Amino acid sequence: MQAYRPDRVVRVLTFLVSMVYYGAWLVGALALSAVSAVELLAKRDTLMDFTIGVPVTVALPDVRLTSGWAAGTDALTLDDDRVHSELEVPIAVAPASFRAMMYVGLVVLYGLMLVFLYHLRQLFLRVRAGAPFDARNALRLRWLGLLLLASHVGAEAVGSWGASIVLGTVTNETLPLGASFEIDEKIVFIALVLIALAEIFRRGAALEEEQSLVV
Amino acid sequence: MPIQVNLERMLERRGLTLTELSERIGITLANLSILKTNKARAIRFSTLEALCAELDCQPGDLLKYDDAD
Repeated sequence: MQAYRPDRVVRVLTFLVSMVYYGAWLVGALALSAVSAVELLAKRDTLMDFTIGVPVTVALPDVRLTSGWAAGTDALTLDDDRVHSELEVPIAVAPASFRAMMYVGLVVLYGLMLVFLYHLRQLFLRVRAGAPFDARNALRLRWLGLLLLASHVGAEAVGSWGASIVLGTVTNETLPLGASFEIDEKIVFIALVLIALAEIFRRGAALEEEQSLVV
Repeated sequence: MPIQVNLERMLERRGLTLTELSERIGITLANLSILKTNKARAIRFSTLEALCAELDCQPGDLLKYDDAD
Protein backbone atom coordinates (compact mmCIF):
# COMPACT_ATOMS: atom_id res chain seq x y z
CA MET A 1 0.00 0.00 0.00
CA GLN A 2 1.32 3.46 -0.90
CA ALA A 3 2.13 5.89 1.87
CA TYR A 4 -0.58 8.52 2.42
CA ARG A 5 0.28 12.02 1.27
CA PRO A 6 -2.09 14.85 2.25
CA ASP A 7 -3.09 16.97 -0.70
CA ARG A 8 -2.74 20.71 -0.95
CA VAL A 9 -6.31 21.36 0.18
CA VAL A 10 -5.71 19.55 3.47
CA ARG A 11 -2.48 21.44 4.07
CA VAL A 12 -4.13 24.81 3.33
CA LEU A 13 -7.16 24.03 5.49
CA THR A 14 -4.91 22.91 8.36
CA PHE A 15 -3.02 26.17 8.11
CA LEU A 16 -6.24 28.24 8.03
CA VAL A 17 -7.78 26.43 10.98
CA SER A 18 -4.55 26.87 12.96
CA MET A 19 -4.57 30.61 12.22
CA VAL A 20 -8.22 30.90 13.24
CA TYR A 21 -7.52 28.93 16.44
CA TYR A 22 -4.57 31.05 17.53
CA GLY A 23 -6.38 34.19 16.38
CA ALA A 24 -9.39 33.29 18.50
CA TRP A 25 -7.19 32.94 21.58
CA LEU A 26 -5.63 36.33 20.86
CA VAL A 27 -9.00 38.00 20.23
CA GLY A 28 -10.42 36.44 23.38
CA ALA A 29 -7.52 37.63 25.50
CA LEU A 30 -7.75 41.13 24.04
CA ALA A 31 -11.53 41.28 24.49
CA LEU A 32 -11.24 40.09 28.08
CA SER A 33 -8.62 42.74 28.81
CA ALA A 34 -10.64 45.46 27.07
CA VAL A 35 -13.88 44.60 28.87
CA SER A 36 -12.09 44.44 32.22
CA ALA A 37 -10.44 47.80 31.57
CA VAL A 38 -13.73 49.40 30.55
CA GLU A 39 -15.61 48.01 33.54
CA LEU A 40 -12.96 48.99 36.06
CA LEU A 41 -11.62 52.27 34.71
CA ALA A 42 -14.11 53.96 32.40
CA LYS A 43 -16.31 56.82 33.57
CA ARG A 44 -20.09 56.72 33.19
CA ASP A 45 -20.08 58.90 30.08
CA THR A 46 -17.67 56.51 28.40
CA LEU A 47 -19.62 53.47 29.60
CA MET A 48 -22.69 54.79 27.76
CA ASP A 49 -20.79 54.21 24.51
CA PHE A 50 -20.27 50.50 25.25
CA THR A 51 -23.28 48.25 24.93
CA ILE A 52 -24.34 44.66 25.46
CA GLY A 53 -26.54 43.42 22.62
CA VAL A 54 -29.48 41.12 23.37
CA PRO A 55 -31.34 39.45 20.48
CA VAL A 56 -34.97 40.46 20.09
CA THR A 57 -37.70 40.03 17.54
CA VAL A 58 -39.71 43.00 16.35
CA ALA A 59 -43.27 42.31 15.23
CA LEU A 60 -44.00 44.45 12.20
CA PRO A 61 -47.47 45.76 11.44
CA ASP A 62 -49.27 44.13 8.55
CA VAL A 63 -47.19 45.18 5.53
CA ARG A 64 -48.92 45.15 2.18
CA LEU A 65 -47.55 46.61 -1.04
CA THR A 66 -49.11 47.43 -4.35
CA SER A 67 -47.40 46.10 -7.42
CA GLY A 68 -47.73 47.33 -10.97
CA TRP A 69 -48.43 43.71 -11.91
CA ALA A 70 -51.70 43.78 -10.01
CA ALA A 71 -52.88 47.38 -10.07
CA GLY A 72 -55.38 48.40 -7.46
CA THR A 73 -54.74 45.56 -5.07
CA ASP A 74 -52.24 45.09 -2.24
CA ALA A 75 -50.92 41.92 -3.75
CA LEU A 76 -47.48 41.81 -2.16
CA THR A 77 -47.17 40.84 1.48
CA LEU A 78 -44.21 40.12 3.75
CA ASP A 79 -43.69 36.41 4.30
CA ASP A 80 -42.43 36.85 7.86
CA ASP A 81 -43.79 39.73 9.92
CA ARG A 82 -41.07 39.34 12.56
CA VAL A 83 -37.70 40.96 12.16
CA HIS A 84 -34.69 39.82 14.14
CA SER A 85 -32.53 42.52 15.61
CA GLU A 86 -30.41 43.34 18.65
CA LEU A 87 -31.33 45.65 21.49
CA GLU A 88 -28.21 47.53 22.56
CA VAL A 89 -28.09 48.06 26.32
CA PRO A 90 -25.45 50.59 27.47
CA ILE A 91 -23.19 49.08 30.12
CA ALA A 92 -23.63 52.22 32.23
CA VAL A 93 -27.38 51.60 32.76
CA ALA A 94 -27.36 47.79 33.16
CA PRO A 95 -27.16 46.51 36.74
CA ALA A 96 -23.89 44.82 37.75
CA SER A 97 -25.59 41.45 38.29
CA PHE A 98 -26.99 41.47 34.74
CA ARG A 99 -23.64 42.46 33.28
CA ALA A 100 -21.83 39.78 35.29
CA MET A 101 -24.21 37.04 34.18
CA MET A 102 -24.03 38.10 30.54
CA TYR A 103 -20.22 38.19 30.70
CA VAL A 104 -20.11 34.71 32.25
CA GLY A 105 -22.48 33.44 29.56
CA LEU A 106 -20.34 34.97 26.82
CA VAL A 107 -17.11 33.57 28.32
CA VAL A 108 -18.62 30.07 28.50
CA LEU A 109 -19.83 30.27 24.90
CA TYR A 110 -16.48 31.62 23.71
CA GLY A 111 -14.79 28.80 25.62
CA LEU A 112 -16.98 26.25 23.81
CA MET A 113 -15.95 27.82 20.52
CA LEU A 114 -12.26 27.55 21.47
CA VAL A 115 -12.69 23.88 22.37
CA PHE A 116 -14.45 23.38 19.02
CA LEU A 117 -11.55 25.01 17.16
CA TYR A 118 -9.04 22.95 19.17
CA HIS A 119 -10.67 19.66 18.18
CA LEU A 120 -11.06 20.81 14.57
CA ARG A 121 -7.37 21.72 14.41
CA GLN A 122 -6.31 18.41 15.97
CA LEU A 123 -8.48 16.60 13.42
CA PHE A 124 -6.79 18.37 10.52
CA LEU A 125 -3.33 17.80 12.03
CA ARG A 126 -3.95 14.05 12.24
CA VAL A 127 -5.23 13.98 8.67
CA ARG A 128 -2.19 15.92 7.48
CA ALA A 129 0.06 13.51 9.38
CA GLY A 130 -1.37 10.63 7.36
CA ALA A 131 -3.70 9.15 9.96
CA PRO A 132 -7.21 10.18 8.90
CA PHE A 133 -8.86 7.02 10.19
CA ASP A 134 -7.78 7.37 13.75
CA ALA A 135 -9.97 6.39 16.69
CA ARG A 136 -9.23 9.80 18.20
CA ASN A 137 -10.52 11.51 15.05
CA ALA A 138 -13.77 9.62 15.41
CA LEU A 139 -14.12 10.89 18.97
CA ARG A 140 -13.22 14.42 17.86
CA LEU A 141 -15.89 14.44 15.17
CA ARG A 142 -18.47 13.45 17.74
CA TRP A 143 -17.27 16.22 20.04
CA LEU A 144 -17.46 18.72 17.16
CA GLY A 145 -21.08 17.79 16.53
CA LEU A 146 -22.03 17.99 20.20
CA LEU A 147 -20.13 21.26 20.73
CA LEU A 148 -21.82 22.82 17.72
CA LEU A 149 -25.23 21.89 19.09
CA ALA A 150 -24.37 22.98 22.63
CA SER A 151 -22.92 26.34 21.61
CA HIS A 152 -25.83 27.14 19.29
CA VAL A 153 -28.50 26.23 21.85
CA GLY A 154 -26.47 27.90 24.60
CA ALA A 155 -26.10 31.12 22.60
CA GLU A 156 -29.81 31.23 21.89
CA ALA A 157 -30.61 30.50 25.55
CA VAL A 158 -28.25 33.17 26.91
CA GLY A 159 -29.49 35.74 24.41
CA SER A 160 -33.13 34.95 25.04
CA TRP A 161 -32.68 35.05 28.79
CA GLY A 162 -30.86 38.39 28.61
CA ALA A 163 -33.48 39.82 26.26
CA SER A 164 -36.37 38.75 28.48
CA ILE A 165 -34.73 40.47 31.48
CA VAL A 166 -34.11 43.68 29.53
CA LEU A 167 -37.57 43.71 27.96
CA GLY A 168 -39.05 43.33 31.43
CA THR A 169 -37.60 46.76 32.28
CA VAL A 170 -38.84 48.56 29.15
CA THR A 171 -41.51 51.15 29.96
CA ASN A 172 -42.20 52.86 26.65
CA GLU A 173 -42.37 50.12 24.08
CA THR A 174 -43.02 51.76 20.71
CA LEU A 175 -42.92 48.51 18.75
CA PRO A 176 -43.94 45.03 19.90
CA LEU A 177 -40.66 43.39 20.98
CA GLY A 178 -40.06 39.82 22.05
CA ALA A 179 -37.15 37.72 23.25
CA SER A 180 -35.71 35.69 20.40
CA PHE A 181 -35.07 31.95 20.75
CA GLU A 182 -34.79 30.18 17.46
CA ILE A 183 -32.98 26.97 16.77
CA ASP A 184 -31.41 27.04 13.32
CA GLU A 185 -32.24 23.70 11.74
CA LYS A 186 -29.21 24.01 9.44
CA ILE A 187 -26.88 23.94 12.44
CA VAL A 188 -28.74 20.97 13.92
CA PHE A 189 -28.41 19.18 10.58
CA ILE A 190 -24.67 19.90 10.36
CA ALA A 191 -24.19 18.67 13.94
CA LEU A 192 -26.03 15.44 13.12
CA VAL A 193 -23.89 14.97 10.01
CA LEU A 194 -20.73 15.37 12.13
CA ILE A 195 -21.97 12.81 14.65
CA ALA A 196 -22.81 10.40 11.84
CA LEU A 197 -19.36 10.96 10.32
CA ALA A 198 -17.87 10.12 13.71
CA GLU A 199 -19.43 6.66 13.54
CA ILE A 200 -18.17 6.19 10.00
CA PHE A 201 -14.66 7.20 11.04
CA ARG A 202 -14.82 4.84 14.02
CA ARG A 203 -15.53 1.97 11.65
CA GLY A 204 -12.81 3.26 9.35
CA ALA A 205 -10.32 3.27 12.22
CA ALA A 206 -11.21 -0.32 13.06
CA LEU A 207 -10.77 -1.35 9.41
CA GLU A 208 -7.45 0.47 9.19
CA GLU A 209 -6.17 -1.27 12.30
CA GLU A 210 -7.28 -4.59 10.88
CA GLN A 211 -5.61 -3.75 7.55
CA SER A 212 -2.35 -2.79 9.25
CA LEU A 213 -2.11 -6.33 10.61
CA VAL A 214 -2.60 -7.98 7.20
CA VAL A 215 0.78 -9.06 5.89
CA MET B 1 -4.29 -16.62 17.95
CA PRO B 2 -4.59 -20.36 17.27
CA ILE B 3 -2.80 -20.04 13.91
CA GLN B 4 0.94 -20.06 14.61
CA VAL B 5 3.58 -19.00 12.08
CA ASN B 6 6.79 -21.05 12.20
CA LEU B 7 8.88 -18.40 10.50
CA GLU B 8 11.74 -18.53 12.98
CA ARG B 9 12.24 -22.28 12.53
CA MET B 10 12.18 -21.98 8.76
CA LEU B 11 14.69 -19.11 8.85
CA GLU B 12 17.06 -21.21 11.00
CA ARG B 13 16.74 -24.11 8.59
CA ARG B 14 17.68 -21.86 5.67
CA GLY B 15 20.30 -19.92 7.61
CA LEU B 16 18.66 -16.59 6.93
CA THR B 17 17.95 -13.59 9.13
CA LEU B 18 14.68 -11.74 9.06
CA THR B 19 16.41 -8.76 7.45
CA GLU B 20 17.84 -10.90 4.66
CA LEU B 21 14.47 -12.48 4.02
CA SER B 22 12.85 -9.04 3.93
CA GLU B 23 15.33 -7.84 1.30
CA ARG B 24 14.93 -10.98 -0.82
CA ILE B 25 11.15 -11.10 -1.00
CA GLY B 26 10.39 -7.36 -0.83
CA ILE B 27 8.24 -7.43 2.29
CA THR B 28 9.07 -4.89 4.96
CA LEU B 29 10.86 -5.94 8.10
CA ALA B 30 7.98 -4.53 10.13
CA ASN B 31 5.47 -6.79 8.40
CA LEU B 32 7.72 -9.84 8.75
CA SER B 33 8.09 -9.06 12.45
CA ILE B 34 4.31 -8.91 12.78
CA LEU B 35 4.16 -12.33 11.12
CA LYS B 36 6.98 -13.80 13.20
CA THR B 37 5.48 -12.66 16.50
CA ASN B 38 2.06 -14.07 15.56
CA LYS B 39 0.38 -10.66 15.66
CA ALA B 40 -0.85 -10.80 12.08
CA ARG B 41 -4.60 -10.97 11.53
CA ALA B 42 -4.36 -12.27 7.98
CA ILE B 43 -1.80 -13.17 5.34
CA ARG B 44 -2.11 -12.56 1.61
CA PHE B 45 -1.59 -15.47 -0.77
CA SER B 46 1.08 -13.41 -2.53
CA THR B 47 3.00 -13.10 0.73
CA LEU B 48 2.62 -16.82 1.46
CA GLU B 49 3.78 -17.60 -2.06
CA ALA B 50 6.87 -15.38 -1.70
CA LEU B 51 7.76 -16.95 1.65
CA CYS B 52 7.34 -20.50 0.40
CA ALA B 53 9.39 -19.78 -2.72
CA GLU B 54 12.28 -18.26 -0.77
CA LEU B 55 12.22 -20.70 2.14
CA ASP B 56 11.63 -23.68 -0.16
CA CYS B 57 8.77 -25.05 1.87
CA GLN B 58 5.04 -25.71 1.82
CA PRO B 59 2.39 -23.44 3.40
CA GLY B 60 1.79 -26.21 5.93
CA ASP B 61 5.41 -25.98 7.04
CA LEU B 62 4.93 -22.34 7.87
CA LEU B 63 1.45 -22.39 9.38
CA LYS B 64 0.24 -24.50 12.28
CA TYR B 65 -3.13 -24.62 13.99
CA ASP B 66 -2.81 -24.88 17.76
CA ASP B 67 -6.04 -24.45 19.70
CA ALA B 68 -4.47 -24.58 23.13
CA ASP B 69 -7.24 -22.58 24.85
